[in-house]
Amino acid sequence: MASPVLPACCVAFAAVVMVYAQRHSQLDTHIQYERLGADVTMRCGAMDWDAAVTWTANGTDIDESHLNGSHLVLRNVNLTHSGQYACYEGSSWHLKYQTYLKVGTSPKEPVLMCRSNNYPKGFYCSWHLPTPTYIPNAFNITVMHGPRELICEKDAFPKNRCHIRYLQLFSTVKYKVTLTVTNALGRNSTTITFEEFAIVKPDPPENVVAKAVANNPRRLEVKWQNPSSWPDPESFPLKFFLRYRPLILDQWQHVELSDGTSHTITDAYAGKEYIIQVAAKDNDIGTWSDWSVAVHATPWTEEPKHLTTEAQVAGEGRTDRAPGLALLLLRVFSSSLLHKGQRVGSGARGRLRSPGSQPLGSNHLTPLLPQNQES
Amino acid sequence: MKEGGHWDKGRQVGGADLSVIDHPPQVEWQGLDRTISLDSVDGVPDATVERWEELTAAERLSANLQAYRVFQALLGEVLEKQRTHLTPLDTDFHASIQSMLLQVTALAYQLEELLALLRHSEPPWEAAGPEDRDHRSFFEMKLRGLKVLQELAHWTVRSVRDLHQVTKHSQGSNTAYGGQAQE
Repeated sequence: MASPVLPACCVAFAAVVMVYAQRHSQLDTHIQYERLGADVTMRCGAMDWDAAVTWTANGTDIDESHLNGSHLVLRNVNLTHSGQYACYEGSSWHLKYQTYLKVGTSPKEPVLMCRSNNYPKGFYCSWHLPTPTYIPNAFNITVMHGPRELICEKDAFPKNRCHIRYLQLFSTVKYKVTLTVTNALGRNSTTITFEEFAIVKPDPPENVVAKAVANNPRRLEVKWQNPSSWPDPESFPLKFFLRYRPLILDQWQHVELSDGTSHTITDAYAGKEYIIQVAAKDNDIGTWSDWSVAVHATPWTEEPKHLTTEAQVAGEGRTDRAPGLALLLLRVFSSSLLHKGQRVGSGARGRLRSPGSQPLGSNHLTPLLPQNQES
Repeated sequence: MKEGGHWDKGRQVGGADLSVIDHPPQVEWQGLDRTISLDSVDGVPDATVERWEELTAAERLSANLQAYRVFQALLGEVLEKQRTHLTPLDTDFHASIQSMLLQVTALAYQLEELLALLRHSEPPWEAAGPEDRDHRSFFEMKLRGLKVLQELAHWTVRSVRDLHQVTKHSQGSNTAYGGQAQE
């Protein structure tokens, strides 16, 4: 029977494991939250003040200048001070204390808003902090409708949002929503009150499409759909607001439409690329939605004869698809045509002028790229 | 971007033109701030309803009719108070209230007709409210006036929706009314 003598390598291995375990023994890991700009003093567990210790920050030894005896002193802490701090007894390297420092601030007053984009089903409230706290925050929301408290169900995504189902409709009793935000360094809250009708704001119309109308140089056909979040457009019809302008001008034309999800613009300037947007509103209550995504379209134009070759090479003569140089040439062409029209003069052209706008010829080449959606 | 008001001009409700009720809640109503609580005013029909989607046509028409009957009386009262005590010189204002009163009366009549057409029974006339009208202070009169107009405005929004539902359902199910629903 062989004696159970461990080979030397195993002994050495065991020793290493033991030392490691001692260095990183299962001490309670504290988390401590401190205010930005504060002075922080950490004690090395139960060690005496005059004990010899070494502190580390995220594994790196900390210079003795930060020590007051065995206490670690951090002055005017900022976010870079956040991390793991550990204290080891001088010679033995026993881990005596460790803590996780998180530097942050107490919450500022949160920003809260509520909106119904799915009337009459319900509404949602959403919130955020105007400045980050850098430490974890807990939010609590209460919704009161007169004496009654309603449950606001938290959405999975986005996180800072909850929704409520309407239990009553056509109520004049106001809703009162209070949001409290709390973290380790403090708390803050905000309250808003509103009426049922006032927060109704649909999502913008969807799938806005604008097309030229064949053989009609001044028309553009625009179609769109009700926002999919609006649950019952039949019983709660929406009305729409359409705005359009040529890219080269700043002033919008507006049309309000009380029904239907399409409209034909009949006064477009020939050959000019237009930007078009649509907004929606409940027929009777609430406010207008944000503008839809902008769409671009150019009215039908008869192919200019001497540019046919280029246009055909570029894209079968469809002027709104001709890329690059061909487009540039076409714009120069149509601009000069328009300019001639202006000189001949007609009352209708007067509409092109608005206070502060420049004559067409001078600046129409500037926006070669479509402008972004304007709010 | 223009903000929608609570209601728009030219709204037709059951054939009656309620555009005259295009009277937005006064930011200031006869010296009262708009945030003042009107909870103390009672006897004014409340448009609030639970499970609105589940109401039957009969229930909708009945509720609307009852409300507008009460509004007839209330508007009469408001008019009298304005003329006698609160704004005796503002004849334009009296004329608008008068006009509103006429519209509400016309609407109530049309609702009665509609109920009869759809072969529903009329709701009974409700007894008049508290009789201590003459013992109210000017402040209370003003509060009442504001409450009446606000609730009336709310009711007109509800009526548009209610009548739309009634129309929708009567178009869809002619046989539900004994096959005689006339458009």
